[in-house]
Amino acid sequence: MTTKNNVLNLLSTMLAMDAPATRDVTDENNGLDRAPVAREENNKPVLGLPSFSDTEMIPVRQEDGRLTNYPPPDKWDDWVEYDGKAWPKKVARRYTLVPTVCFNCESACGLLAYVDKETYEVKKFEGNPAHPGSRGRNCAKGPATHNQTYDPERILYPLKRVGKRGDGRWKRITWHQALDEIAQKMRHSRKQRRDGIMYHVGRPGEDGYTNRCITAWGVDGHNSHTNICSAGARAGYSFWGGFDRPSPDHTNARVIMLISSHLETGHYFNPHAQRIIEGKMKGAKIITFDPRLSNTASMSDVWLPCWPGSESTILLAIANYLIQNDHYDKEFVRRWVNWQDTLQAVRQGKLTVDDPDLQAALEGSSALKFEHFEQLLKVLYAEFTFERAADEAQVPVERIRETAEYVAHCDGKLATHTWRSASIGNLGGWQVARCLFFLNILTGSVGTPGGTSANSWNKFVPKPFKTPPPGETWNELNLPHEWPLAHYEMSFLLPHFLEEGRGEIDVYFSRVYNPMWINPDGFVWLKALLDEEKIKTHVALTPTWNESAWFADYILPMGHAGERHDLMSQETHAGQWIAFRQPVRRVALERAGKQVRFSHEANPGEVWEENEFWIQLSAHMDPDGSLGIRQWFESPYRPGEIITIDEYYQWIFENSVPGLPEKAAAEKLTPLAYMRKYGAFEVTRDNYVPYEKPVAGIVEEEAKKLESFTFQLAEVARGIAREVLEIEPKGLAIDSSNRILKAGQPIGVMIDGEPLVGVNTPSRKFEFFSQTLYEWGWPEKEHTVPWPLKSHVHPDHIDRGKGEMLLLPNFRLPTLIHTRSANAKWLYEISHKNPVWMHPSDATRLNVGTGDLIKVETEIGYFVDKVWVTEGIKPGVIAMSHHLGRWRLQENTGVNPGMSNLAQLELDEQGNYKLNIIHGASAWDSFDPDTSRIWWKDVGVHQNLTHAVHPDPVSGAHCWLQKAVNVTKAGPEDKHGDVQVDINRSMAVYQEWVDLTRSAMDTSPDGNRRPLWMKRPLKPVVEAYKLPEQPFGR
Amino acid sequence: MDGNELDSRGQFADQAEDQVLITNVSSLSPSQLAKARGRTYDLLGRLILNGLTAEQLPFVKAIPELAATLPVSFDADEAAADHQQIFGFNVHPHESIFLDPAGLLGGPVAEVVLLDYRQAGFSGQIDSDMADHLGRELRYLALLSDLEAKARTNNLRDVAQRMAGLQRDFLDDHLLRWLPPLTLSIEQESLAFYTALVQLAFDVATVHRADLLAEPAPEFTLPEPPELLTQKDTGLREIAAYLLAPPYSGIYLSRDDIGRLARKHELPRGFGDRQQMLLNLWRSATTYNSLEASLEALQELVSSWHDTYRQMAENPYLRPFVAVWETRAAATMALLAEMRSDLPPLD
Repeated sequence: MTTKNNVLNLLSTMLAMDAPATRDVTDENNGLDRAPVAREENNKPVLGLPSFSDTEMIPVRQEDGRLTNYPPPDKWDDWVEYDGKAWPKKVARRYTLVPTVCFNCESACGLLAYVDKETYEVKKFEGNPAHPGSRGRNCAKGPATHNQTYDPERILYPLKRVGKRGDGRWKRITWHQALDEIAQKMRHSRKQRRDGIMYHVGRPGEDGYTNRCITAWGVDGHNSHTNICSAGARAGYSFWGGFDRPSPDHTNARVIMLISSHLETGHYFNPHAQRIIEGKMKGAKIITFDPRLSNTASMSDVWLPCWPGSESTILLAIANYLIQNDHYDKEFVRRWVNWQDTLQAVRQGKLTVDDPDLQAALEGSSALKFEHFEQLLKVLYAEFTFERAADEAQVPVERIRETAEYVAHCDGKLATHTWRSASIGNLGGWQVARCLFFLNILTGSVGTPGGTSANSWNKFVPKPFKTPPPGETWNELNLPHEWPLAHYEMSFLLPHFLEEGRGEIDVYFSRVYNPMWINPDGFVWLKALLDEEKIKTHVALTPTWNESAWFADYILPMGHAGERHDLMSQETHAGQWIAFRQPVRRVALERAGKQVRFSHEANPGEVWEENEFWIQLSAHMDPDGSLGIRQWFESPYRPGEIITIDEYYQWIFENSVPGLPEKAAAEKLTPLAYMRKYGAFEVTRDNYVPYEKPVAGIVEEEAKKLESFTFQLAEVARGIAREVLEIEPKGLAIDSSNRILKAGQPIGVMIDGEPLVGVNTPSRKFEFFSQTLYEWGWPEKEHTVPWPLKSHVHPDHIDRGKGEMLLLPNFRLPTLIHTRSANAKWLYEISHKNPVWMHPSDATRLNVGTGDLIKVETEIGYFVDKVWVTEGIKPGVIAMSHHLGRWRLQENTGVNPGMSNLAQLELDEQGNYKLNIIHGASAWDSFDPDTSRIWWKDVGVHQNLTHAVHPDPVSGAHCWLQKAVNVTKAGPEDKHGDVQVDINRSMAVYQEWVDLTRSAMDTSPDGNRRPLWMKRPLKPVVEAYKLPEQPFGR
Repeated sequence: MDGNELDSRGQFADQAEDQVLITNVSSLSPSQLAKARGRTYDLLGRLILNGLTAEQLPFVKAIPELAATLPVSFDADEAAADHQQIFGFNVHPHESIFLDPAGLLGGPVAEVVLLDYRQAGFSGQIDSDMADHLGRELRYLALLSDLEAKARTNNLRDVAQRMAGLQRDFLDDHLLRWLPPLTLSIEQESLAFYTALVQLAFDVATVHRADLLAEPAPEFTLPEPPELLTQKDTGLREIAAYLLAPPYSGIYLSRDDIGRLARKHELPRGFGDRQQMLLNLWRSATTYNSLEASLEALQELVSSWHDTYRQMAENPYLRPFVAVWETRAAATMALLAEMRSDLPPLD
């Protein structure tokens, strides 16, 4: 202890100095008590003391026993509470609470906006307890909507480019001018061609509204981000069951199997994570495949840090264990898998099996027996031992065996999920989804409580008042002939197609999309965006600045979650619901009796919403109706008049949502008023095994006929005859595969004599053997049935002795979302940098430690980033999180200074493109005092620029995993954030992957571009499917 | 309280009062001493409340004990991060945390502190959550000292005596009761600046108490801990709760302390609140057959606290405040020893 003398010296020192603070110590701590009396700070000063709500919150009982309280809906119109910002003063404020829907990921969780009744400012966003998906809970991204609403750097007015693209000079224009000019360009294009307008969406955030508009314009103009996100998984699921997303019922599962943590850290994070925890609390085992120790992996019962690309082998080893031990749900497989078609394929030599006994049995038997199929499975998958899987995956064999045991005892309650991970990471990743769902098939966990459903079974999309007819055109820039099975548009290759001269675009809308930043090979995008011949007009619809918008011609500010109308539904659990996004200030103003014509009158600045914008733009495009467009935007209630947004949703809620009118009437509300009040409606609950439902679309008499044994027997005979004579059946029929046909179209399937609806595949059953893949150019066993495909980052392709490593560039953080987080200060304070994860053994080899700079060379260039040494990543693999590394080119304009680097671009004629960082994030002055408190500088490195494109030849997915051809300690000349790319190399690697494709020109069995049964976001008429005579490259 | 109240008081002999209130100080007059204490408590309080800022840096540089801990160049971001690390994440410097077994802010302990402020005549709005923060308590003493100094300068003897009495009461009833374990807990965190800062506050308060010439305070008591090992439903959760409640265990375990214990045996301890972390640590220790070693390490830690309390108790003015902590630490050592002896032998 310090001696007394030391203390006395201290006291003497203090006495000799000036007072430590400018204020005398007695000036503080003696204020007056402040009761919540009416004062000038109150928002109702003339009314005196506000009467407080009884603070009797609405009790929401969760299944796991937790109780959460919310303001009761009958108090939402006038809710009073203290202003947290005024703390420690107690200032009471009155709010009107308006429900809306979060727009920060695709989950569509409910939000409740607290709108100040005096100022109409949005005070905060909390959870909406009436929302069936999120149940009042939100992740960090929900409340951060407030940051985005009040982001000092957001774009508040329509802007038009001045000077050359990318000069960064803009002028403010009116909405009227924007509508006039853009609509004229669209009209001109539409009169010339049907594929000149392209709407390229990153995050739809709605169900079908914009697609209806595009269809009404009569163009094939929809483009998406799907092929850098989920195309691999979608393809895998589609080949099995005709649906393109899984919907696991985590709450009731006994085993939850996750391929990566993407689901729980990406979108669907909040609604799914809460249900995974509920499942876990009830005893479910969690199994996570991930080379990275994610938060999810750390909470799992089994973590399988497998080498990327080995997932299918592990899954098939588990399948093999179930098969060899006869430990699978044979009754489900017998009823619902296309085993007859599969055995027929073996008979016909389409599927080769090295088992003479089975071949002989099939040839010697007139009837196909399920026992043969059982034998087939045993022969096919015998090679997938635990030992082989452990060897390929580089994980302990015991852990795979343990996983198999859990799966074997799941009792039909296996909830599985894969999305933007292995299935989008690897060449052939679509087979990961297929192998994963194979386990659902084998355990009978399909659409069951605790099992995995199709997304469409748990999602509800109501029909609008009038639907335009399908288009008549096929846009080759979206779905070219090389990828007939792609899911879906080859969006990330758009600039490569333009560079090759496959076409050009008259009017390009990018919407909630930052293609140059988010896609691989961003510099090729930059080149395309700069080319005014290839992209003649670029309109960026965005609520905030982004790197691509910098190179647009128009920037049109569109609202955040509380500033727009949208209708959404998502497959969050085994039920169906809709949720209504609303411009909350507008709704608050209308509740107060104020008239609002368009949402931009109520939003900050002149921020608008797409719904009203599309209506007005379409009307401007076809003012006299001569293009046939205007009719789709006329009111169903006021003939000839342009529809209002209220009318659009009024019609849907009154006519297309079963149960809603009745529910609203019970509260003496119109359906629209009900949705404006609650923001959500539960359509169905516990929607299990819908494929077992009786076939729909037939009258009672037809149903009786189908169930008649005599009819069935006769149909078998007729079916054989029709096949031989190649006659299309008329009326109601059953074909030789037991499909129920009506007017030639399959509408269901006979299962054990019962006419059931089945699933949306050609066979109406789950397809183990895919006739589609066989017929469309992929006849090998590794394609037609669930089978591993050798990834482009297989260990055989990564020579670690030469310094090569595998770069895992696409894991996500639960607090950020793509490129839309850089206007949310709270989220960026939590996570803002993306160092390279590296295992200590690799760090030792490279002689680097945490914080050192490393240079990662890819196939087309390199980047420089800091390293983070951790045992949480597999040796040989390096990983970087998605989302980060945002940049801007001017100090005072562009992406928010606290969340982006100031950068400079250098492009030369030889194709060398460089991005260098001038400085990192910095504080700045604005109306928001928090912007002066930015304390971080490192906001990450833009790695995607250095990624070569890897289009999978089947699914069309960009295979995100990158081969890092060299990883070294950075040299003295290297700076954090440096990026350099040779775009000539970009095009060369692109061509290498194009060479893997099998064009529909060579493989199509029917002269079409794509199987008719497979999904497309907007399906054109059948005639448009016909292959062109001379497509590009032919 | 304001200047008018002070003006209503009579004068007194400055020199004589110095003899009553202050001894062992020859170079400073009583009013100077009070003023110096006021400034010192104020500076220490501000540093604990807000961390080191550029505004306070010149004062800190003038204090050798603190100056020795400063980095070569001052970085406000780093200083703020250190402050958050120690007081935001690890050691919550509230009297409630150290004296109330519930360990919740704004509870009965804080209410008593608030009541003392009010009884001293302060009607200011002080949130109960913050009333018992160390920084706030130091600044309360700063205020009393400053008022005492002003009273002396103005020859207001009664006021000065009253202010001195309030200081003594507050030291006896509050600050010195929890400064011993707080000082030790900060010392564990290995942030040199804050170790020196809190040690300085402890020393100033100790010397201050001795200078007040009153009798040593009577020993205070802490709430009686539960008889854990005699209750049949006692599990690891209950033991963890006991250890994490300073009035029971005599020690304070921060997140970093638990992390250090885990690292010592290369055990995972997970995330979450302290109780969750400690349970995670023990569960993983059980899995890896390291529970005995882990308990031993914890026992060593408690033993070091116990020894330090014993050393503190050698100061007669500190003894009443430390004796009970020493007793608690000894009981915790015994508890851990008993737990270790009850463990089944390793295979």
